[in-house]
Amino acid sequence: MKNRLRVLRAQRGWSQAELGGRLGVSRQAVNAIETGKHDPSLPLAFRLSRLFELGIEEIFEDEQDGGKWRV
Amino acid sequence: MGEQRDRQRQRRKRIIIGGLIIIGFAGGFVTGFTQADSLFTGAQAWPAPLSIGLAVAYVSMLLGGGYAMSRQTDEFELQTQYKAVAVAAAAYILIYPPWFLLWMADLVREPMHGALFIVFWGSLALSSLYYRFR
Repeated sequence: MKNRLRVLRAQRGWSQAELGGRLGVSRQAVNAIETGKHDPSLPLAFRLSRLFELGIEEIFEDEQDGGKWRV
Repeated sequence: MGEQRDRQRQRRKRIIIGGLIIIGFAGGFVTGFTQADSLFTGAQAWPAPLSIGLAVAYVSMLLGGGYAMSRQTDEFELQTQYKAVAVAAAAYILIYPPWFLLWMADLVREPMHGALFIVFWGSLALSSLYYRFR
């Protein structure tokens, strides 16, 4: 699933390990989510949403919907 | 903050894995040292205390180590392990039944449990590495 995680992380100057530590997951998990190899579980998606203070749909794009990220 | 937590988690995982390796090595060393002459031939029965001790250690490591690691594992690593176990189980059920059936007709040698053990764990290790690093 496409997402803006890498951009959001870079805006805050966080490494993948830093973001992983804040979310309670490994650096590999963060990398897998950023590259679209792994879709986060709902609890993890909500933690991301709370951490970045954005809605889940503002972080992840539902490709089947062809949706656009809301600004 | 986050990187420190990540380092702490990695350190705890290394301690658990290190402990399991040490226990496994100790068991292997004792076995090899005391049973060198009949290690794989089964020429003579192993002492009962050794066999029982190894069996208890193995099950304890699997259950205890598995539980300890599960506390340090995130959802991505867990999913990787689920997939790896599925691949290993598939390898086992693909190899053992045909081998057994062919053996029943005396076409091949009796299924070797040691070889099947290696197939299972080898498949598990390889698929675990594949799903983790692909």
